[in-house]
Amino acid sequence: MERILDIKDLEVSFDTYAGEVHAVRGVSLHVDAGEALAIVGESGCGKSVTAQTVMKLNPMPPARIKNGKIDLCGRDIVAAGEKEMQGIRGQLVSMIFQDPMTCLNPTKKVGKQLTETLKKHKHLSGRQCREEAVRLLKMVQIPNAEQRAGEYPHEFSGGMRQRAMIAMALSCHPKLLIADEPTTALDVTIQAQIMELMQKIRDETGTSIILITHDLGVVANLADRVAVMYAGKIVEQGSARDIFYRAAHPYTAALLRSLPTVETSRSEELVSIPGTPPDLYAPPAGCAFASRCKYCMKLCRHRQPPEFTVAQGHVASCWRLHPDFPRQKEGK
Amino acid sequence: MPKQLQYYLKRVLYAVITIFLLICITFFLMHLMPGDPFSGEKAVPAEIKAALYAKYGLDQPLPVQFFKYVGNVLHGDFGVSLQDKRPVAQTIAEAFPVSADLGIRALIFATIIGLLLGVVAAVKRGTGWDTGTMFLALIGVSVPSFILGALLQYFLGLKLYQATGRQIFAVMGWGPANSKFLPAFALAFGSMASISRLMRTSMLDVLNQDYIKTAKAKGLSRGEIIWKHAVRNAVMPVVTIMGPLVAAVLTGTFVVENIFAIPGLGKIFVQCVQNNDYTTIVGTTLFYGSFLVFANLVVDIIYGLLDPRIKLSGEKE
Amino acid sequence: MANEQAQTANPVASSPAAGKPIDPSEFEWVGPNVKEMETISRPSISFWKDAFRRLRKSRVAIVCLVILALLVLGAVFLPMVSPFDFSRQNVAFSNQPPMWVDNETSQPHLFGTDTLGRDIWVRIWMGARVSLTVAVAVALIDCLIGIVYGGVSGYFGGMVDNVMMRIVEIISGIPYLIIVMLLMVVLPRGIGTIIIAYSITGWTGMARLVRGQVLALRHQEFLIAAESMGARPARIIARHLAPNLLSLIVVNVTLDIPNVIFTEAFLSMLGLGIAPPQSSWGIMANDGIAVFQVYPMQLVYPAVFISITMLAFNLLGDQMRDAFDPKLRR
Repeated sequence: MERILDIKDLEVSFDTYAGEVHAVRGVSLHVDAGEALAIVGESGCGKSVTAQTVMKLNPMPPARIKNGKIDLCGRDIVAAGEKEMQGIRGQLVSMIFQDPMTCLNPTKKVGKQLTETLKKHKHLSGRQCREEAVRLLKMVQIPNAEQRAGEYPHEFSGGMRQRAMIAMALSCHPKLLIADEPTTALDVTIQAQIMELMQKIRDETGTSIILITHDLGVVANLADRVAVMYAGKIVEQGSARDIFYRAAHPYTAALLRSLPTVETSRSEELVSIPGTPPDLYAPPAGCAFASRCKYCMKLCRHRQPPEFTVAQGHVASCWRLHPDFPRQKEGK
Repeated sequence: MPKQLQYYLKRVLYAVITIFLLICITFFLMHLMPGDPFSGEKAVPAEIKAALYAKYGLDQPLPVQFFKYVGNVLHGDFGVSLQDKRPVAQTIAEAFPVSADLGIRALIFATIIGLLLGVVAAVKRGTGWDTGTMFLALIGVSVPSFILGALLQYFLGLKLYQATGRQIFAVMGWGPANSKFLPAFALAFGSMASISRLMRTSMLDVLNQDYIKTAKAKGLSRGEIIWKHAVRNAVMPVVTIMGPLVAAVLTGTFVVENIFAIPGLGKIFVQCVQNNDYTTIVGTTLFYGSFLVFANLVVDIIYGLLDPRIKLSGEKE
Repeated sequence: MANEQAQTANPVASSPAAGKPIDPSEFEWVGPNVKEMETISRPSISFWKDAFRRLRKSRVAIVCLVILALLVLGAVFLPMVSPFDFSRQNVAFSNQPPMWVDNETSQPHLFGTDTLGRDIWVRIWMGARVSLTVAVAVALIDCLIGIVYGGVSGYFGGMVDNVMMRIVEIISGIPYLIIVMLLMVVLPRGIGTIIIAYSITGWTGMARLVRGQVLALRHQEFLIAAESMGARPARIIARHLAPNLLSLIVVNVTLDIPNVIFTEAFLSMLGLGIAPPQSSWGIMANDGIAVFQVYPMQLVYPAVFISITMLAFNLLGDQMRDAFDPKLRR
């Protein structure tokens, strides 16, 4: 299996007026060809920053790659200059964002926006671009594609706009598509449609997908593997089944518990995790989840847990997985 | 596209109403002015006075006068100047092209340079380019055009002549090529400053928008992002001030033409105000007013063409 | 399914860091400490305090305020302490350079004299009185009319708003300078006339802004919340709308003043403003232009004062706008 993306020990900080924000504190993950990886976590945990760093979209002051390697199809992203990145963005890797309302240029026709990268890199003629735009819109199941290509973004509905964004991202057949919270701003029914569309695309074109979301429920159908992030670090990583059925990290378990299911009766209280994530200006010395974890031990407070292997392809960073952990003393 | 048509028709309607209001105001003011229009330094013979009275209906009740006045105006008859007894319309027709020439040069210069400076300042935000251009703009907004005009005359006109022995920039008059530069520049500078400030703010706003992030994610170069995506959107708020800008340039001609002795409509207007030549004042005011209303209408139409969102809502954002 | 507890399958310590032996007591359970989490690490500052802090930090703003304060003080006091009256002529000693000693009073003319032998220094400061008075008066009147008009229009919305805004559109369609000039012709010259003339057309900008803000704020949730708790409309306006509007108004007034100063100077340039022997910067500029080629300083003095004043207000307005902009909040 060809490895499309390989991130090792990535550390990214933002230099702000008030100090250094350690947004990403040592993240390692990978995506293989045709695979869909979901990165799940609360707002502010660093998942978007990680994704945007892969494409170097963050303005480099104030953002700063402190450490780490990013390998995208054999290209060294960390060392790549801006010119090189312009050749990579849109071609090797594409991204779609959260709010389709504001992500399309309101004064440009949709068809033109779709084929802009194509025109630039493949030098297609005007007519070829028009045809390609229509084909792309049809691929994402937008009806009346010919007419729609000549319209402006404000004439599209929210769901249609997101589809158009997806079409735009796929126009140059990238190896990797990063979707940053693509359904958060949409209605639930539209959410399902978009997720279905992404699955279809993955199956038909073999494009790898990174899906970033704070909603575990959205992940279930699409993702092959899941990485759970908290406070700038990956706390657990594994196949979808591993995460859903055999969660090893207390945070993952808590997230799963907080999801209401079809079976949740009306009288049951919704479970939430008490407390808030730590301030990344001064990240804690120990495990970042310690103060909210009901299994917290003395050790957890002052030493960061390393990655422990739970099973083949399933890792988690929790001291309870240490071989010396006294299983009998499971406190409550 | 009925909604878009609606927008245009609304604008035309407002223009017409405004012009009509202007006519009313000028008519009203003319009748407020002391004395009757035909008492001047020279005594007018009785029969001629009677004839003029009849023509302008001055012996009729006010509403009738008003209608006669409106009728006359719509025929292009603005009355006769008290000063030199020539038809006002003729005076306007002779002087306006000169002012128009000056004004258009100034506007083109102001717009092009202003937009460019605004883009540069925004793109190179925080650097010397930014501070430099914005400082220049601040000067332009704070130093009145007449002062600038006088300074230009002195340094680029007189001093340069004394230094080089050649009149590189003419200080007075209008006609030869070297006479058009200084007045146009003095007229343009303030507007250029406003445009560049507004363009900078607008660009900064646009550059923070999500679709710019999308453009970057598509692999477009910085230049392409700026010129193909950002500028088009950033220009729109600037277009909305073009109306007031035309007005500013127009009123600027009053002083600039005076200082540079240019035989334009501005100079004439100022003269007739100082001399209490009422008919000319009123006629010129009406002309200016209508012209500006028309210019505003053109600007509104241009805005409608630029912003595709008008099609949907029928109204500006 | 998803509600199963976290299982610990047989773990293997995989990374080298875990190789360091761990003292068994470290595994002692302590449980979560949510209290510690809830202390917010950065104190939050109120909108006003933050805005004023930013303003105080801005050196530019401080400099502008100082300049304006000096201008005001000068305008009030300097003519009082000057040995010369602003209209006193001494034609024998006209167009004298700065620091020329007057023969009658043996006092120096700090800026020299003009074509009629009047002391320029005193006339500058008298002019300051005129310009500043007119500017502030006009700005405040426009402000008042604009706020009331815009507030009413925005608050009541609907048909009322529609009609009122149409009126505003039409009035602003007529170039203000032309109206002002016409009025100056018809009415007697003087400070009061300028104030009236400018006020008649100048309020439309403020009205539009205020109405826009009121409309936007009207529908925001916190107002609905206040209303649902039974607050009366007046109270709502005072406590909720006012703070948001205030910053807008203050910035606008500050940026409007240079326009008024310019208008006054402009009118005086054309001979339509204040009547001589009263002095205003515009009149002095006009006089100065006439003799500019021979006695440049006579234009330079009023020009510098006009420009610096307009510059100071513009800069201050800019700084205030930045300070009050919530998006730039620290």
